[in-house]
Amino acid sequence: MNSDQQIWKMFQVGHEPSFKILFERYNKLLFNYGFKFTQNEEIIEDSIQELFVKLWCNKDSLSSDVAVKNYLFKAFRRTLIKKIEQSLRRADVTNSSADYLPFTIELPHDLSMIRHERALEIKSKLDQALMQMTARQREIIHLRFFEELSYDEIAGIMALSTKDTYKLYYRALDSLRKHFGTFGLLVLFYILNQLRYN
Amino acid sequence: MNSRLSKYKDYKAADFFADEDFVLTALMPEATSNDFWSELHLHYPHLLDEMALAKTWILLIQNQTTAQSILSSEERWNRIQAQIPIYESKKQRSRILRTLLRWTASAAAILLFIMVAYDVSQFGTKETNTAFGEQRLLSLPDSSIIRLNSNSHITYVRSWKTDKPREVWLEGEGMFEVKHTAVKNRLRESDFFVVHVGDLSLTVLGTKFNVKDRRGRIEVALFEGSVRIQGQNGEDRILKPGETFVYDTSAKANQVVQVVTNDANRVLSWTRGELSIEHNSLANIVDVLEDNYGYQVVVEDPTLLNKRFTGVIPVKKVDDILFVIKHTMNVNIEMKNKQIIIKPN
Repeated sequence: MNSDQQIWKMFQVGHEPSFKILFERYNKLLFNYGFKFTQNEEIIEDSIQELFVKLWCNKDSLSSDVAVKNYLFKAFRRTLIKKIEQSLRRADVTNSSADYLPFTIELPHDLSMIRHERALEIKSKLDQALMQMTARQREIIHLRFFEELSYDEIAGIMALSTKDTYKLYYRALDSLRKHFGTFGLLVLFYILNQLRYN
Repeated sequence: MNSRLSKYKDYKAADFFADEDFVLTALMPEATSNDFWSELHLHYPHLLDEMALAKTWILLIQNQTTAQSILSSEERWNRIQAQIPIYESKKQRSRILRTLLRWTASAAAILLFIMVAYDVSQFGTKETNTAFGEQRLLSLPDSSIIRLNSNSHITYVRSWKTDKPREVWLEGEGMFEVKHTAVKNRLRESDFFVVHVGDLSLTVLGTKFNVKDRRGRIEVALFEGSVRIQGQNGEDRILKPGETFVYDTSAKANQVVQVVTNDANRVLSWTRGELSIEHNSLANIVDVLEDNYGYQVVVEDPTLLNKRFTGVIPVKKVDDILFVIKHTMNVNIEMKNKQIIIKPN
């Protein structure tokens, strides 16, 4: 009964508590998402505020049938990138486009939830593999596994075609294969080393 | 089922990571069944490590460190609430502005169109004709002024290039007030203004003069400045203010060239819509009626033609002229269509 869809419909007829629920649900996620593009919190705050202010003021002209999360991420990303570009242009940096913006994934420091004896090693390898990817490939991985969005939705948010999104994603896997391809062999060395020194 | 299992036989971690079914189970363990994957690694024990690796990647990404803002959700919410009324009023204002802008834009577009259309229509050769009894005041591109008398014709090229003299071609009668464009001590060709009339060329800088070309007789009366007159016959002289140059083109063999002192008031009486007839004969008036008003005048007694008048006749209307002639000369005047017959009483 509290699906995004229903809350959206209530919000659209001007039900303020529903608007607040939408805000509570998404404002931290959006901040987190924005933080991956820029460390300038002021820009992220401005973008979130502008998004929700406009959402409320233009609620009559919005479509009533939207995938809410998808819609919010897409609108937020557009607003944020515009603001980042504006700030870059002010600092006289040319060649500013969404493609040049960074996207950082910071893996957890606390690995207690991972039941794998080589969690630390896997983490550092995954880190390296992610670093080898392009910012947009990392963004796809983030949206798929962290935000749990489908490829269609990711394509919509990133203003790409679904086909291009898949292409970028499969190319990202090459980086993983490269870093973990000799994984089994490395484990063997690791064990041998352990034996030798014990 | 078996074929589905065998599909995964050679899968590596990256392949599981890319497999939608595997990912769905990893992302939503409650909603999906793990049975298939348990069966898979029972069937193929070597896949266990790869699956665990892929699962670990997903777990790591799912549990990545989230950025925390210094601003609490509550503060953020309050800021949004504060901004909503500001945005609403701004939106209202921009809506009014937009409506205003749309109107202004359409008005500007129409105006621009008219201006362009007018501009285009002005390109190339411009010709102006005056009908019988009509006078016209023309303003040239360089803001020189020409007053064109009745039954006259003037041609000029609209785009006066900066390096060429300004040129006009005249038939009939016109009074010129040419704008002086030359900068002191720096005379260029473009500063000259040339009037072509008959086979004469009048070259001037900035002057005021009257040109009359009627019945093969050209009269150039200068009031201000100077005019250089060049004819195809080698005629070349410079006129001083107050002088009138008379040139008879019909008498080619025996050209009558004379310079007489002019009376500006008399020469320019036509521009005021009057005919100064001091010391004028009826013959002169007949010329005016024929040249400027397009009548055919028949004078039955030729001796009348040499009769002289004094005074000023208003010439705005033909009736006025005829009225004056009738009463001062004591003649009978008949008018049929475009023919005027003057008979002695």
